[in-house]
Amino acid sequence: MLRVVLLGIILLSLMACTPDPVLDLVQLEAQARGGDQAAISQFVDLLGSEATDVADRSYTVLIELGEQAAPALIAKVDAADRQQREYVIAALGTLKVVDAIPAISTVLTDTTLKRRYVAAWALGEIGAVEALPALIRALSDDNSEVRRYATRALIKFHKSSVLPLVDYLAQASGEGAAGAVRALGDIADPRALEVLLIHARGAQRAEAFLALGKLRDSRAESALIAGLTDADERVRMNAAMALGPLGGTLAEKPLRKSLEDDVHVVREWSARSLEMITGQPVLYRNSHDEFVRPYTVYH
Amino acid sequence: MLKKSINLWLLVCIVSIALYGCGSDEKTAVDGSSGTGHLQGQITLPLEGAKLYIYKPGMDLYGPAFAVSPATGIDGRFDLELPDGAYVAVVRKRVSGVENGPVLAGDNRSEFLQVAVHDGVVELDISAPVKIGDQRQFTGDAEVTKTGLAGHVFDSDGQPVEGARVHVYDHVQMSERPKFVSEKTGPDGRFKVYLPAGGTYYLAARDKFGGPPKLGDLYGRYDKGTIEPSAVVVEEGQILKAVDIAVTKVW
Repeated sequence: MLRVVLLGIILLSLMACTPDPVLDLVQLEAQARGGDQAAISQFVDLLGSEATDVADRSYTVLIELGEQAAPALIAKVDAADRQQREYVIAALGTLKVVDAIPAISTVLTDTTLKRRYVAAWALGEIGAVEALPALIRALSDDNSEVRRYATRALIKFHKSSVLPLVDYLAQASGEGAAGAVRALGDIADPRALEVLLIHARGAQRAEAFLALGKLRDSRAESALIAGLTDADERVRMNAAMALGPLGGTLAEKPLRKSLEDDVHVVREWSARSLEMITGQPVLYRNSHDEFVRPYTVYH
Repeated sequence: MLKKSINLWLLVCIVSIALYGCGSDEKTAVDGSSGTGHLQGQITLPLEGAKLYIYKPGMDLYGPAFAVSPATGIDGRFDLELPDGAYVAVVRKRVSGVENGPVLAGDNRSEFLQVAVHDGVVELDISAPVKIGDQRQFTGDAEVTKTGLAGHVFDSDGQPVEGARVHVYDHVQMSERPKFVSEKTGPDGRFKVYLPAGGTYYLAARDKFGGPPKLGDLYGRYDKGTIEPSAVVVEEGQILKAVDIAVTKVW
């Protein structure tokens, strides 16, 4: 009996001393491509590798595997390792896995987690309306990157996010309102006009003016003209910036008055917009008191 | 579409052989002739690892190309299929091995060549000598002015990013070559760009140079999620501070 126990101890010791087998990524990749779920799961685990090239290669393999990688990826959306979680969510977004929306939305709203920006990005890539509530909530997130990616994701939804954003904006304030205004501006749907005009009189008026310029709706012209005399120079600049693309002739006279604004960039953008409206060269006074034409910021 | 190709024979200038006079100060010729002549020329060899960059007329010849060939082999040849049309071609080979970014001293580059492709094979011989001197416009080379931008580049964990550059554009599309490029950020992620004048600028930060960002690159624009980047307004005589840019992996 003692001999058996000793032999067992020796064998266990030898096993403990055996070095870890070298991972053969080529073989593992072949197995994964053959549909071996264990191999696919191993690649999902490798997304957390400290060796960036291994993580990147695993990511590429999983993307190439497509739908068959989805179950293993979804199982790791809530991985504790932030790098692995980031890669997993990015892969699910790239693969547009609709079934992953609930799990990714949970990550997006869990403010204790790092790198949540990728959850907003992925929901935008997937593009299914089930993701809209989480993305709209994320517009007021404390993390600026989350807000930024949520805004971009909602813009990608285009028309399907307009009414949810309009409803949200009707009662939103602060960063959330600013994000919704930006998204609605880029989508440029006329259904957003009314709520944007309301915000053109409030704290987010600088953002609202830019958005109204993108809508190119003449009904916004008087609000934008009023913005040219706002006390805030940023608001005046944005109003001048927005009036050019709008192209309304009513703005010509107020913009010429803004050529005398105290702030250089307000004068410059007024001249730029006047050139767009009139089609004629317009000079403005630069910071060296020289009268020059604005350069074209658009190609 | 018909298949056309440009077969390129890349030649590099290696040595200019100049045979000068024998060095004698003797004046022997009665008729004013020195009695000697010059034999000049170049010995060339094929350039391996170079790429042909194809632009359409009107494109920024220093920006992203319409098409880029694979790198040449040891024989310097390659074959690039293009639609019928007029193009501008240039050969570049960067010592760093990257596909895009400024051509620096020590890199190979050719002159810009007008090429017309029409239904067939166009044979080109191009010389791509080594560039001497360096005309890049990094901040470190630029004049220190009282106007500029300063801030940090940070990652998705909010940590400073080392080795990134901030690219400054004066066009909202940011599709052309950046007007100014910062030096690489240090361990603290800080950058500073001096500008010749105040105005409206658009910013991006990245860890690679030139061309569209690729999978795995760190990249971020200064924006608030909108399609167009946010305008950064710099007043004359002002170093605008706290212009922080987040970079994330490109997926």
